[in-house]
Amino acid sequence: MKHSAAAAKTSGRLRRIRKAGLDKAPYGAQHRTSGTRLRFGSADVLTGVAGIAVSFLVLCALIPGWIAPYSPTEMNTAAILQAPSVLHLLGTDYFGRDVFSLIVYGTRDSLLIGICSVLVGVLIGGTLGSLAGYVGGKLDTVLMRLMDVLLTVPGILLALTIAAALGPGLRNIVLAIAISSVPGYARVMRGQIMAIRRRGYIFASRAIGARPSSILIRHVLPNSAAPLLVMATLGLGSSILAGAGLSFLGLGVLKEIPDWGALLSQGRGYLTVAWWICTFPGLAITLFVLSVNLIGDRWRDAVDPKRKGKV
Amino acid sequence: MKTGLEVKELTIDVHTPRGTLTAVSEISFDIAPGETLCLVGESGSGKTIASKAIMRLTDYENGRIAGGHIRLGGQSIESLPDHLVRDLRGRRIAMIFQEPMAAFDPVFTIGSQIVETMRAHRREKKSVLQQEGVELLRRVGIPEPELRMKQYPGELSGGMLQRAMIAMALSGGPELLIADEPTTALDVTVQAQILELLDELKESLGMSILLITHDLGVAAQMADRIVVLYAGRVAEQGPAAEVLTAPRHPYTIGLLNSALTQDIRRGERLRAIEGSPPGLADMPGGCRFHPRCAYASPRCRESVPPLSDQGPGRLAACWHADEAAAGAAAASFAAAVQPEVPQLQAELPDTGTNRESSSILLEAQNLKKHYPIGGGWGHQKRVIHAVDGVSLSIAEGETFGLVGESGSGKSTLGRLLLQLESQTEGRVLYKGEELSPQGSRRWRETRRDLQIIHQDPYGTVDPRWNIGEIIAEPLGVHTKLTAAERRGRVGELLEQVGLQSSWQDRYPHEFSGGQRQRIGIARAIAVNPRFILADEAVSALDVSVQAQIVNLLQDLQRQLGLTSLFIAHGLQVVRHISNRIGVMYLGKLVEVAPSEELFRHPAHPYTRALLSSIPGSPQAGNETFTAKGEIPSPINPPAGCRFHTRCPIATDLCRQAEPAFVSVGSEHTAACHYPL
Repeated sequence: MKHSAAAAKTSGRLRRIRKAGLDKAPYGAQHRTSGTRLRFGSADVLTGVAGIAVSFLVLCALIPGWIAPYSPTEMNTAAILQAPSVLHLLGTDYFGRDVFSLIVYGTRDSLLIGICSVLVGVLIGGTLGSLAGYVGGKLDTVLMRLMDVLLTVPGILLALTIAAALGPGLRNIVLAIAISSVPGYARVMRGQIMAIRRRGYIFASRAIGARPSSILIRHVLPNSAAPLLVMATLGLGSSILAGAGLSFLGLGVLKEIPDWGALLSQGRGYLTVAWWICTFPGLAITLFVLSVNLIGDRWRDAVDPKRKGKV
Repeated sequence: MKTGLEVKELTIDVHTPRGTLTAVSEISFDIAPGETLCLVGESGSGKTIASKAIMRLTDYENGRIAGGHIRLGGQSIESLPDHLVRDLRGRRIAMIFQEPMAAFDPVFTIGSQIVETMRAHRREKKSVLQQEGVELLRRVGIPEPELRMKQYPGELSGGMLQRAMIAMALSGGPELLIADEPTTALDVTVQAQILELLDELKESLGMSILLITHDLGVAAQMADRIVVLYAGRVAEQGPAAEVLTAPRHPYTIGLLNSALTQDIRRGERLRAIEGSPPGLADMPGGCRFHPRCAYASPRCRESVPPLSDQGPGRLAACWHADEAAAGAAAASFAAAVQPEVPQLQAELPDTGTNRESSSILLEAQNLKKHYPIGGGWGHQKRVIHAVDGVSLSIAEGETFGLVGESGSGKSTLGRLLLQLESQTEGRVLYKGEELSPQGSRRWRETRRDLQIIHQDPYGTVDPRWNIGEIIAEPLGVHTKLTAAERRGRVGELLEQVGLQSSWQDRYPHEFSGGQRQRIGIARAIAVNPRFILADEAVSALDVSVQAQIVNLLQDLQRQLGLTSLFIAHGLQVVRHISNRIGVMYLGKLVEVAPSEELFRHPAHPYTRALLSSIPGSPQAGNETFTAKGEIPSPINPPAGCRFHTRCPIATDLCRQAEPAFVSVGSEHTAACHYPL
């Protein structure tokens, strides 16, 4: 009982709804079950929609030419700053470029920046945090003070400095964003590891003579990873936005095809006359982040043994 | 006006994420003014939720009173508007809880919390209430009450806090005091003090007490009448003495059989109830006890037995009450509950009859463990003397029991013996050789011989591993078995501890507490160890399940020829399972004796005080030999004999000189200047 109550609190509403639906109808609760069954369906549909959205965006990244109706570089001077219409689904920008096509073509760089920088950040931050939390002592102090120093500089400023030092380019932008996100991941991972390290089953494992390295890999890490996963899915969005900020300042990917972030910042000046230029790239980011979150939530449930066995 | 509390056919529904569940079904009881009624039951029996419903506290926990009546002094509570219920709480009905530490707000002083409670019900000057608070604290036996009023909860001990909690409950002058497991979190000597206080207050103030407990000993000592709950229904009720001596419901009979008393021969198999209490979501139909009952018939599976009259003041809900009562009376019930289990009377070799000749397996020499605390900026560095100079030896094949109150250092000593912690001073010898320091290769090898069964069967298994992997973990560390061989061995082990070998792929959360403890035992014996440390291995379990596990441990010990150290605060369990017992107090061993000898002729005053505070024991209540106060802090242990601050026969000598171990019988030693 206690376990499920605590888990439900953290996992949010979706899971609770689904769980209620999955369970057998308890006696004397007919009126409730009919209601929950409906919502159980909607939660599943939502995950399905998220899956379709992510698949679509991935397709956009891989084969933009097949999806976009226009070329992203084609400037139609006859149709500058046109509102969404049948011809231009999401309108046109100040050069007369089709916004929908721009978004489709910008997907590749945006996803690359988002996913790669999160992966690199999680990898570095997670490793440093695990080391600090598991080894403890002086190593912990040194690593964490280093993280504190990094944390005192605002993330975007740090990324800016790194990007400025390394020069523009996709790889450098990914590195800059990743490094600026490292302290956050490291802190969360360290806290998690320190909490798990004191659990009874770690002591039990030590008592049977298991090696520290095997305890770390087989017990501590799998049990500590969940919050980092959540943080990573949320980090996707902010990474894309950070990439946008850098692009805006001229430190991003300097190409004629702007990524979502660049689109967003370029359209900002026209917000009063042409809202569609920055609204739709923004919605694309939201759609992507939301979908990834939904799928991540579902996936975390699927690998949690506590939910696997429950009837 | 004064008719006490009346509960009639009370049914409580609980809304959970999984839907609405019925926690309590149609329970009825009443309490006359000045009477103590005990609600007895295991976890999940609905005793706590029923008591909360009386104060309508269930409203805040997704509960709903779905049927029945609750009346206090003729006034209905179940449908009272909220503001009137609030007026009732604390004034006419007061409650004390299991965890006194958790029930006080740590950021306010005791005094301000007591005064706040009083101000909830009447307008009075703060200074007047303050003075009343002091009087109340004095009334419940708290020394220096003026000082305590100004202290924070963290500064008081558990026993003091529970007294303060009682004082707070008394502040409204309640007609009914609900005490929910008030002594479960406390040490046995403190428990005796609190129970005595409750009894005395009831007499002098004429309150009724509704005492909720899982401990039949506590019920026997305190109750005028007993209501036994099982799975949300009343199984049996009646006057305490009659229910306990002539039970009529098979569940009550089983509970009484499971409880360890001094009458049970040491080493004898306990007559446990099979299985475990059902969960709320999967209540069996018909009589809810039928899956565990020896008397179950088709009728029990189909229809719910009503509470029927069983003599003056007695009710039981059983279709076969007469049969069961007759069976219990004839003491042939054991065979009926577990017909397949032969009455094992195999004698454990009592005491180390051949201890001298047999080899010593594990030996501690002057072990000390000091934990440094504080020592930060400008803080004085202090030391917790967890274990302070303990020497003992455990012979091959022996079960050594270790008892003592919390804070006596028994768990630390256990971990030191296994070298799971390194000592500050002293040596641990295993088969005559010094155990290597932690982490070395040799140390890891000795882990194969030295295994441990943990107290908490929930926390000591990795929730992400299935039980096959959990049990196989030591096999992976110490053997080179293939995956298939491991699976086979795990299957064997599961059957050995009474589970099914096909359950390997299930996860820990799918098992009940008792089953998980079996899993823990299977893991501990997986690599055929020589020595097992059982650290409070049965303390967290329900009474009926505890008996099963004790039986299992004894069987395994006999089959595998294990040597073990059995640590527990439950004295009867330790007596039942051990050959010799060591009593610890504040980091020191104060007495070591063969277990029967220790119980019959305790030589150290502390041992005697411990024994007399076992609730329901023959000595309880009329024994003058009790320990005063509570165990002092291990940071500054008293000089001389550490027990002198609580000892009824302490003299100046005790305050100055530390007593050495003296022999008071064969194999019986005690560290006391004046052994009894």
